[in-house]
Order: sequence, then C-alpha cells, then structure tokens
Amino acid sequence: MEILDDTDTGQSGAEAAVAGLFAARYPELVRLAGLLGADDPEDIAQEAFARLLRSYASLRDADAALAYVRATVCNLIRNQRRHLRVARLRTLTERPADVASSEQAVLLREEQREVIAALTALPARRREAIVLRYWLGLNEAEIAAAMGISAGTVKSQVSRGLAALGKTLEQALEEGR
Amino acid sequence: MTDLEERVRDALHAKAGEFNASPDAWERTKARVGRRAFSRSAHRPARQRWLTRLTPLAAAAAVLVIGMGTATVAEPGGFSAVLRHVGLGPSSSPAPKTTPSSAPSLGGWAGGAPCAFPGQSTKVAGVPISAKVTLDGVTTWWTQVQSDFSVLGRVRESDLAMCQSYPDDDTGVPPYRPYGVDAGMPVYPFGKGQLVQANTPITGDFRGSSVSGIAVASVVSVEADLANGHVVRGSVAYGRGFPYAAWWVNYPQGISATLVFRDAAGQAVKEIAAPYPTASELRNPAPVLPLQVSCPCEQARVQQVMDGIKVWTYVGVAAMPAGTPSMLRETTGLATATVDYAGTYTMPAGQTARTVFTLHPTSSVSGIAVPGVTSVTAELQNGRKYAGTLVRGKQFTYPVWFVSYPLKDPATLVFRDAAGKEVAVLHEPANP
Repeated sequence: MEILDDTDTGQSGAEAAVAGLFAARYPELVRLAGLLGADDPEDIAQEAFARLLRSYASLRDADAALAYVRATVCNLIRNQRRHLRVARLRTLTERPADVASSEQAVLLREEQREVIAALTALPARRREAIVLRYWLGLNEAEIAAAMGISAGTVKSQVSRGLAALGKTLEQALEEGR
Repeated sequence: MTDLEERVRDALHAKAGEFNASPDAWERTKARVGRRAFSRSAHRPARQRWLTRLTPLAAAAAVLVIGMGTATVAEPGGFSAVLRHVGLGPSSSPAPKTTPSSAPSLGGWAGGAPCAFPGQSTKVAGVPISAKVTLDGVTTWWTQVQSDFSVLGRVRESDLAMCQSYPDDDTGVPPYRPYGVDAGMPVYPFGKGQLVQANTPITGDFRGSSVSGIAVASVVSVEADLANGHVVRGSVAYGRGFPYAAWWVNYPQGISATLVFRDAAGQAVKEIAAPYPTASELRNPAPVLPLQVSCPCEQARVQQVMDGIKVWTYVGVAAMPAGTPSMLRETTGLATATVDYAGTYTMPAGQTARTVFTLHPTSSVSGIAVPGVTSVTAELQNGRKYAGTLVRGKQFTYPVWFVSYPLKDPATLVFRDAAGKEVAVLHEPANP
C-alpha cells in the first residue's frame, strides 16, 4: 500500500481538486494543528496537503480527501511528539519564556486560558477528540475517521476528556477562591 | 450543549484565532511535493527505502554488555507469545532456539482501523497477528493491513503494518493505529532470502532510540552494538500462527549503533547500521518554516559544517509589538527536525554576547551579540580555531551567531568588531 506520485494522467485534475480543498480548508487545518499542540501548525497543514497531493490518485473517492487531510494532521502531530528531535543540552534552562503579545492577551480571556491550559494537559487522544468535536463540530463517525479509531472509542474519549476538563476547572476555581 | 461544552467551544474558537495562514501557503505546499526525496524513492518498495537508509556496516566490537530487561510480552485472552531475551554479545554462548507455538493467534479488525488486534469486538476476525511487545508503555505488534481501509487505498491483502498503542490511551479500549502506514511505509511480504525488516529508529521523550521490526523464524536474537562499545540486548517474540517474529531493541539516544541479528547457533545473520544522525538527514535541508506570527519578519539560511557534513540552519525572526522582544526561530537541517529554538531573545544590559542554545550531537553553539560584532571564533586549548557565522537583518534585534567545533573540548568564543578588536569573550565548558 504505497502512496505513489500521481501519474501523468489525472495529475492536473488532482492538483485542481486539492487546490480547491486547500482554498476552502487550509486555514481550518492550520488551526486544527495549532489546537492540537503543533509546534508549527502551518508546517503540519502544508505537509498534510502535500501528502494528499501525492496520494490523491489512490483515494477511493473525492469525499475522502478532507478526512484524509484531517487524519494526516492528527498523525503528523502524534509522530512529531515521538520522532527524531534534536536534543538540546542547555536550552531548557536557558530559554526565555515565550511572551504572549498584547493582542493575544486581549483576545483570550482568563477563563478561556484556563480551559485551554486544562485541555493541553489532557492525554493526546482525548485532546484530539475534544478539539475535533467542539472546534470543528465533527460527528462521531467523522472524528473516528480522523483519529483512526472506532466511534465507540470516540464517545468514551470525549466523555472522559470532558470529565477531566470539568474536574481540572473546578479545582482551579477552588484554588482561586 | 452543557455549560462546560460551551466554555470549551468558546475557548477553542478564541484560541484558534491565533493561528493564521500565510498568503503563499499553497506555493509552499506544492514545492514540498517536488522537493522531497520521497518522490525519488516512492516507486521502490518500502523495505528498500528502509534498507537504503540503514546500510549494512561491519559490527562494532562488543566490550560491555548492558541489559535492557524492560520488554514484556502481553498475553491477553486468546493470545499467547514466546519471548526470548537473548543475544548476549559475540562472546556469549549460542542463544536458545525459539520455537513458535503450533496453535494460531488470531485478532480482528475494528471499523475504521487498519490494524488487526486481539481481544476486542471486531468486524472481521481470524487475522493472524504477531506477538505484542510492550516497552516503556508502548505496545507494538504486527498484523495484516485491512484491505478495505478506505482512506489509505491501494492495500494488498498480504501487506503488513506495525501497530502501536500508547501510554496516554488509558481508556481500556486501546486505540490501535498503524505506525508508518500514513507515511507510505507499510511492510511488504519478505523477499526471497530476506531475513529482517526494520523501521527507522524512533527517538522521543522516553529513554532512548527504539527500533523494531519483524524477522524470519531463524532469527532468534537481536542486539544493538553501540559506537561506544556497549551492547544492548533486544527482544524477539513470536505470536502463534503469525509467520514472522516481532523484534524490538531500545538503546540510548544520540549514538550510532549496529543492529546485529543472530541465529540459534549465535551466528550473525544480518547487520543493519543505524547511524545517528544519518548523513542523509543532515544533508537534506529542512523546509523553510513559515513563522507562526504575522510579519514584519525575516528569514535567512546559514550554511554550517557539522561532523564534516554541510548543513543548513534556518533563522527566522519576527518583530513583535513595541516593547516586547522579537521572536527568534532556528532550525538546523535534519530532515525530520522540529524547530530547535523558538522564543524571544534578549540580552541583559551591559552584556555584549550570550549563548542561546547548543545543538547536540552536531557540535554547534548559537547565540546573539551586540550589533558591532562582525566575527566569532571558537578557540580551543590545543590552539585550533573554528570560525563562525553571523546573521543580521532589519528585523533582528541582535546579530545571531553560530560556531561549530568539537563540544567535548572547552572553548573560548571570541567576538571581534570590524577593526579586529575583541568585543566579547565567552568561555564554553566542555560538553562531552
């Protein structure tokens, strides 16, 4: 099951189809990558579309393209966490903390920051399920396709993720009192 | 929708607004398709691509044996396996022969998942799977790829895939997924005379580099002979009815290794070199990474020599709102590298140069200096000098400098101005 380059026939058609999907969905995929914790969301989104371009001919139908790109974004981010990294010897202690811009501070209210912080602390797959459900508004079947799991597992991931979020936010509220 | 769900939705929508798309994103995406080495190798079977990367070398001499001892074989209901910890090094006695059991071990496919797995409700049952090996919480096994997996397409019924479940999946319903299938790296049936298939080494947040794969039944042990002379034993496990053994070895990160596979007589039947980092990874320039923040921004490419290989480092800087430090991003040309450094960069008042980060093991130090600096040199105690590079631009608050030298030696970094006068000196300790 090798993903092959497009053949000469149909390449322009594939590119046009992917270009259309790109125009409609690229910003959404960048944001999905960002919400899933990508270090460089655009890099992830572009790589996902590049893979779609290469493998478009192998898709069973055009409707699968969006699911493919979403699934690729999820996979790339999971792999990025685990794969080759340049180990830095001293950066962890010397690196100054990133500073949020004033725009970001205005845009993201304190409560929303707490929610995002709690979301970030969730296990990766629960975070994926929550983001796909409540940001993209996908149904269970669509989330299952994007994550490569069953619909039943999606349901449990969302449910457990929400429960964990609620608990964390409740604790934060208690500590703030 | 509950109150909590609404809060989550609102927070996600607000956060999503931080991530913007570049105007030239489509051009960059198309450029990736033509640029990657993938296109040159795409028409070769995956195993050939792996073997191209992992060219056989002579085995390193074994000096010291260190045990791994953390691999276990899971035996859930209806699934059993045989695990052998063998391969004590060239001087050890021959390893015991591993004999696959006679009864088949079967799993099944769940809807939407291309991995067959044991012990769960399944859509299709009766699929042979390999033994499962659990290491550092990650469970790995091998299975046939589900031929009607709709998104991936072009699956042959004889194709195999490595499947894994991860430590963060604590739901009790393992969300199995195939490693490498999305990357176009399924496992094909063994070719005539082929003994071993290996995935590329994985390094991550766990304790080292992990390599795993499958092997024919005559292979009974695997070990990693490290460049420092140590030998790390791996594991070989058989699932009943599955035609191949699953093997796994985990060794310290950041060191070259030779994987040695032995038969029951203790003879090395296959050797695979796993250099770190690979020359091909160092030669392949990393993609020019778009900055996450909106412009004004600048990006420059700097050539360095690391471990005798020319590599590129990409330096990007973005001006932030007035009063806040600029954002710096650096990425050195490992093909799969993530950003090495991303953050604001400042220099305390009165200081003339500082180190920002050190790359390991590629022997490079990087940092910033005051604007008057025009050169940086690393001077070692043995008198050798290594000239560095400076990058500057309109958006750069300070020039960014790089210098590569053997980090195992202490060095004095000397910064000079255009007149050759010393502007700053940094003493870098040995970093073995």
